[in-house]
Amino acid sequence: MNNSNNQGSTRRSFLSRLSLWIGGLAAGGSIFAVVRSLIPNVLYEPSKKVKIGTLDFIPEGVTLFKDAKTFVSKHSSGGKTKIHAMSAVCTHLGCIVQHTESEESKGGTKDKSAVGFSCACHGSQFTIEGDVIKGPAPEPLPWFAVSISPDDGQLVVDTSQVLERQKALLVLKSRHYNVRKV
Amino acid sequence: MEVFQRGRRLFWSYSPQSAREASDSVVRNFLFHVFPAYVTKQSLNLTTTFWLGTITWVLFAILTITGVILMFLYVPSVERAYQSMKDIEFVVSYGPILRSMHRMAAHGMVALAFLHMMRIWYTAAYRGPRKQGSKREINWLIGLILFVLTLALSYTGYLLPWDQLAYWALVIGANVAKSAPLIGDRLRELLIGGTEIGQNTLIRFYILHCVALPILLVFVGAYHMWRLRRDGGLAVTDRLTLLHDAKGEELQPSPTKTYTLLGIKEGTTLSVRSSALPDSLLARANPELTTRLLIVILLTHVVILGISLYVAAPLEAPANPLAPPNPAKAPWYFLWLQELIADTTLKVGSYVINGGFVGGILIPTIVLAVLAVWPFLDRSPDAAIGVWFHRSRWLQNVLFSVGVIIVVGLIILAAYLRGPFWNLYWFGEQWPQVPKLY
Repeated sequence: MNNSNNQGSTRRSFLSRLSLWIGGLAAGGSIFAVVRSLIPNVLYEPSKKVKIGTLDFIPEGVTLFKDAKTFVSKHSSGGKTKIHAMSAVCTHLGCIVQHTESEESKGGTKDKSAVGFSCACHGSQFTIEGDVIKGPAPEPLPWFAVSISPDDGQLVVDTSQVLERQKALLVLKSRHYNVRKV
Repeated sequence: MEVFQRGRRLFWSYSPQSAREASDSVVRNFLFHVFPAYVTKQSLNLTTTFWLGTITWVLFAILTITGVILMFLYVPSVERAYQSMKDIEFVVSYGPILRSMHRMAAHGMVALAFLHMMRIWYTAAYRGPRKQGSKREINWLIGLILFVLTLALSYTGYLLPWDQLAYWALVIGANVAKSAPLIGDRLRELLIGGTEIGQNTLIRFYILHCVALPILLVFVGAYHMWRLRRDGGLAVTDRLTLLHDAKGEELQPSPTKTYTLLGIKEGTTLSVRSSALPDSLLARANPELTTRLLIVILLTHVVILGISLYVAAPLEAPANPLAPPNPAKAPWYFLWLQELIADTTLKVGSYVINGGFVGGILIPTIVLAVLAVWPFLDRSPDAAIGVWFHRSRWLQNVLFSVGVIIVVGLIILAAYLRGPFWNLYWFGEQWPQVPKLY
């Protein structure tokens, strides 16, 4: 192996081994290139940070913001406004869950889905806070970071940043309202 | 006649001088690797195979032809895919029939491939006499691969219209891949070409559906057919040789009868034994096999065309990434998996395994693995080979039937008893009104 005088290594066997190595490397390299080329380096996808509007444009209660695929709940009382953003994507297999609280016993037929959020695909149900009530969902719906954009005062949901609930809850006192409208 | 004689040279490598040479030449003939020169009469009986595998191939041929035509009419872009489907449905002459034929043949191919598998199981055709060195088990493995390829082709196919069914099937399929441990995220990214479903995803599945998977299926399928010849034909031929052995007469296989695959692979095989069966058991492949094949082709085509005239291929609303249909249901051959996925999330204390992994990956893999090793562990007597429901195999047949009944039961459950939000509703029970979304 280490020198050409090695016994049993003829020119023929050396060349055949060499060609095997070169052929193998070429084949391996090509396969690697083919697979690697299929993993994109640049994604032309919408931003994970989504502006959802200034505070007074966000309705009270639970609202689905389509661009962020996020439910934003807003509850105001006593000069304080609590806001949190929760994913609308089911933790089971990614369908969009529906807010079903208001659908209780409608039109005489009993709706079996009178809960916080329900998934149409495999029947997972979540409380209004996102905890799993029943169904195959393995985890609660995650809460996203909400912040106020410094440039125009709009609320920004960062769907790439999952936080604990206490940290994700944004509490605003009235003087924060309408920081600066553009 | 002169032209015919010349034309023969395209397929025949030389002109035989004797009957023996003629038979030998068959082996070297490309076309006759699909057709033997002689087949046993019992192979031609309807009840031997019900022609299930043949029909599967015919359906594949219909799918290829209609598929190529549809490729002229379909645009694999997120903006235009759905619109081109509408064009096929409403603008193109005979477009709906063409698309319906493609869809019905696809349903049929899944069904027939599965029925073919059931036939193989119930007639113990996945194994031959081991003493003679039979390796039919390998063809069973190839068959399983072909079945998985068929399902993959169906899945990638119904994604292309980019309607609601397509989009949500993609979402769920991609997340099933994601639920795999360790490699899940990378697998999902590779599959859909990013982190969100979009143009990258559509073009990937288009190429898979129209190029990669069909080519793979043709190659694996060709090997399937070649192995069938190599194993000496259908399993009934093994039975005939065994019956012949039992009479105490020695089969005298011709030693020159070797098989070659385009000259690459040669060998004296088990087929040597079946080729030595007495002439009284044999029929000429042409016309006995060829005419029957022609009838199968014509009938399959008539049935598919007939169904397509009356049953339209479904096309749902255009893909809406915000609102899955409620209930959102997969096509029938995946419904049992959807039901499993919805039921199998395991919770052990605080540790949770997603049903997407258990029902979508683990259970199907286990089922496939059990099916794959089963023939190798099968210890039923050789007398069972090629016989429907042989008594010695009652336990195996019962187990297999129970498996089939479970799958069919799950499909029926998911198809008829699951309503909005995947809740259970009994037959005839009224579903509640579901709010219209967005």
